[in-house]
Amino acid sequence: MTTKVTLTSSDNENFSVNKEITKRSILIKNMLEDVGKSDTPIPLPNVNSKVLRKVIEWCEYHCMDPLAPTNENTENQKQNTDIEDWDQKFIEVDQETLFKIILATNYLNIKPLLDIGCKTITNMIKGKSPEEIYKTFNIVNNFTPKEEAQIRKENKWAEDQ
Amino acid sequence: MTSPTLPFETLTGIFEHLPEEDAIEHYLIRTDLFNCSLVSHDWRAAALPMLWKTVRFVPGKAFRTYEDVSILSEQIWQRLADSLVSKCRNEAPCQLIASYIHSACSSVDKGIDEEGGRALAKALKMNRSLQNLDLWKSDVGENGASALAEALKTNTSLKNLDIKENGIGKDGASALAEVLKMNMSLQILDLGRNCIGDIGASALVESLKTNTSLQNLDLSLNNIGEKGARALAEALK
Repeated sequence: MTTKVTLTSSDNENFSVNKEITKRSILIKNMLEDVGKSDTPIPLPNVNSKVLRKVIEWCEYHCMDPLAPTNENTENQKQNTDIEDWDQKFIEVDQETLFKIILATNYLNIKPLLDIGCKTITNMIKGKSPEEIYKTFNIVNNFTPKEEAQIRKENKWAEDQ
Repeated sequence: MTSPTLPFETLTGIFEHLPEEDAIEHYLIRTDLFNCSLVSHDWRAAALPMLWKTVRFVPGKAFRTYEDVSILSEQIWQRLADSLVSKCRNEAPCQLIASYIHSACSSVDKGIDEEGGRALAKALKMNRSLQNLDLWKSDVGENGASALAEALKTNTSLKNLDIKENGIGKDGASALAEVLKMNMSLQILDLGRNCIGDIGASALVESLKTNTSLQNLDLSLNNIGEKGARALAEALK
């Protein structure tokens, strides 16, 4: 018999999910262990329903994956930014959603999905100049003019060598 | 739309996937990572410690690097120390730590930042990979030497410590001597040109009686008088 767990998103939508699947999230796994048997919905105030639906979709697809990949494996794959086909399709979302998925998985502690999000961003960074990076991610360059000058000097130093 | 700010550890996660360094003469530079360090404060704080793990400096350049970044907030140093604790499984560049200690100690002297000193001590205490630490002419001073000594009480990896020309004086030498009684990993200790005098030398002699690991202790140019020399000779019999 499969037990269901109810997750409540920040906009108060309830999701009824197979308990085993929710254990992909270390946060929820730990909560369930702490609480023991309980029917109370788990509130996730940092995750909205759109993002939570995506995250659950991912967890359901990957339900057969081993729970804890070995460390050696992750060490080897550090510089490898290849993403599996299904995951690649899954992560093809607008940038705002991508960032929200990353933040949500960081909060929920779902390492493999967080890695996919990070790798996607890494791939967007590769080969870009700092200016192109601000533009791509709409990041505000918050260096003061003094810091800017200092950085330029440092930058020059690196180029000189 | 502005992208939401990503937390420090997530940025670190993103940067970890960036390609390995390109070799440019003496330097190993991770171009993408370097570009990331120029994007914003957050990005810089996450990228710099990683950059410094892989950029190799020719001797003498490290302090210039320290000066270049010093204006960019204490936080970066803090995080650098944290990254030494958690990330450096490979050989950490000692010059980098040297410049960190330099910054921490010069702040301690000004009485501004004990936080930095604590962070450093924490980094050395937990770091298990660093074997050589070269602090030659780093203005470590008495306080710095004491902080270092404190850290060495629990560090078990450091084998070679060079504190030549650092003005550690008799108090710094005594603090280090105290540590030598329990530290069993340090093999080479260079305390040349430090004005440790007779008192410092005597303290070191005391500790040599119980220390079994030290193979090479350099005390040249330290104003050690007859008394100190006699004690040393006695200990070495």
